[in-house]
Amino acid sequence: MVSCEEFRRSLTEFEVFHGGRELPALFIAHTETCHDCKVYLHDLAQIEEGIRETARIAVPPDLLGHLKSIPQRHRAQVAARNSVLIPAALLIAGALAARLVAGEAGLWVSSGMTLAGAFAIVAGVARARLIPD
Amino acid sequence: MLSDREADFRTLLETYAGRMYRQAMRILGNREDAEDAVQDALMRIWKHRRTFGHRAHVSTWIFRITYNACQAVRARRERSALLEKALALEPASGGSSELQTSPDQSAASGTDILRLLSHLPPLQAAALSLFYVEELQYKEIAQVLKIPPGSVATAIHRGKQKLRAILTRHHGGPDGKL
Repeated sequence: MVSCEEFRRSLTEFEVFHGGRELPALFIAHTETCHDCKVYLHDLAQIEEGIRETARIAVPPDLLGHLKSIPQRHRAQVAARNSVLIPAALLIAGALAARLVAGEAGLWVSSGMTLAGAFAIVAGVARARLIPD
Repeated sequence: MLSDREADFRTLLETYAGRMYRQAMRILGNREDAEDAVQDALMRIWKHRRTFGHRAHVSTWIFRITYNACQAVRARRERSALLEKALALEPASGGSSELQTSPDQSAASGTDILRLLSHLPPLQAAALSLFYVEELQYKEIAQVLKIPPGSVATAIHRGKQKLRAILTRHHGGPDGKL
């Protein structure tokens, strides 16, 4: 004979090993003699049914339309980020390159001139359309 | 790797958006948060489409991202609830009538379970949702939730126990009038 404790524990174990599909006859027999466990099992079955019924949750009609624009919105985000990051990176790289070239040539270059050179590089690259719109 | 084509993204949307929204509703319990989570999840899917390696089924990957997005939204909601509490404001009310109901459905079904599910820990709500609604195997749920298959069974069992305890405490059981 299965005790109530064993019966309720077996429900968890049974779900682990058998996916909770069917209870062995011994446990079914227990629910025929124990009213509390019968109610317990019935309650769980009702809850399972309630969970399944949530498959009928209504999806807002405008949801899909709103989500379809995700690729465009993502592209706009990337473009906005690139419009800041790429010029900044080019500016730094340009400034360093200008310093290096000037140093190699034995020329003295002020910071202002270095920056101006870097700006010129960025403007040139932008004009050559390397920066995405 | 998933396709870069927008037409393929729209096909993916049509196949999964509804299921993602319902999963989010079960975890979060209200429309606004669920929509936010689905939007975040789809943005992540589009952003990381090239990193999807087909090691798992695409649906497992999508449910995983949706679950993560739900957790992020829930964390945000909890933070704002704390802030509202600190500012002594009324908390935002959760939607509870999102189900297409029929007059003959039982008292503990549908709407009430949906409302109660969002009170469970996200892991339990997600496990119940994936098992009973999406009908995924324990192994697949374990992949989605990144937990061992044995823990999936425990999460499902504890989730049901908790729902039963709430229903019994407030309404005298799943059959009681709500």
